[in-house]
Amino acid sequence: MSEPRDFVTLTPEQVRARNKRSLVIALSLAGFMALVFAVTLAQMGANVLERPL
Amino acid sequence: MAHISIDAAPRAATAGDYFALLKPRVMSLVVFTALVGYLVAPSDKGAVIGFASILAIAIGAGAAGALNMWVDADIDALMKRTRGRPVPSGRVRAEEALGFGVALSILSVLLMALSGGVLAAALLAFTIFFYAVIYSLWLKRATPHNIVIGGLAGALPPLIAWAAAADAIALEPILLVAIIFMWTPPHFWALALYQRGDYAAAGVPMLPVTHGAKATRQQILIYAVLFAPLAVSPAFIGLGGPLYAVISGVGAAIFAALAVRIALSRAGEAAASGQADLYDAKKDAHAARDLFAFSILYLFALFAALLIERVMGLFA
Repeated sequence: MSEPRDFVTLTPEQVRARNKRSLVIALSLAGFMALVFAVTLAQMGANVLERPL
Repeated sequence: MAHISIDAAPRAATAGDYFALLKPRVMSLVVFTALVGYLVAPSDKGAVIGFASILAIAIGAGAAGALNMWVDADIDALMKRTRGRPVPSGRVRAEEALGFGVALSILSVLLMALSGGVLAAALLAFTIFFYAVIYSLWLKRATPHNIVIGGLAGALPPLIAWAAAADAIALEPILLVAIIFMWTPPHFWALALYQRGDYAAAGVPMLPVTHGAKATRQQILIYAVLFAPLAVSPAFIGLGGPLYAVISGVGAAIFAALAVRIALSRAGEAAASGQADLYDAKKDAHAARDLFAFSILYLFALFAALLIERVMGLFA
């Protein structure tokens, strides 16, 4: 299999924009995970402790 | 090996461009009306569930906005008011707006199902579908009644929020939906009187384009007369208290007076020959401009009154 011959070179501005987009996506996903966890706990209430040990 | 520079694009898309796809100003009104719908509903679900439900509605509204920008990319590029949006300006590709909108739609409905329940999630999914498909893809380009029917999508958030809070539908949130639904036509037609040239250039069959300024002014008056008593009605079914009764009553009188004034004016005639900015001091433009501005203030005041009464415990 031959290696790719063309590569895209991003400008410094494009790299900065991509890094910022990646950071926002990461923070959003982390926030969403935390929210789903919190909602799950809120929905289950005291039942969250009801589990086989 | 070759290195290809892709700096031919207008500007690298930032996170802010993707946020702009969500139509944050529209989203803020949706969040406000939904918040009021949630807080006035009988519920003991708590702050975490409430926050997640309102966030789901906000994300769903943003998703619908992104899908709308994908659908409307061609006509947005032709209108002065919208040509700076991320897709027509080339900062975000239309397919990216589509993918972004679909992903957020799924995310918002799932979050709502988890927090607010199946009924609220189904209503949210219907609202996104109605705005993106029924309004954006079909009605907007097909009929001058586009914003009359399409206004339902913008009116539903209080009902979705109520369903998330109470796991049921009742008369009160339906009344809130009806208020926003009847508010939408006079609000947007007042704006459209100024954007007539813009809409005509883009081929969007807004009422001033298809039937002229005079017919639009008459329709504004008809809808305003129907809207005014509807806006006051929550005070008579126990949803609104004395504060709401005063604000809605005084506001309805002003709204009706402004609608009469616009019907007697020549608003929209000056814009017939070309594009005009909303706040341009065009001849005979003040009547429509005043109604447009007051309509925003009035809707905000109505829901703010309900919110204040509920939060302050002024009326239970």
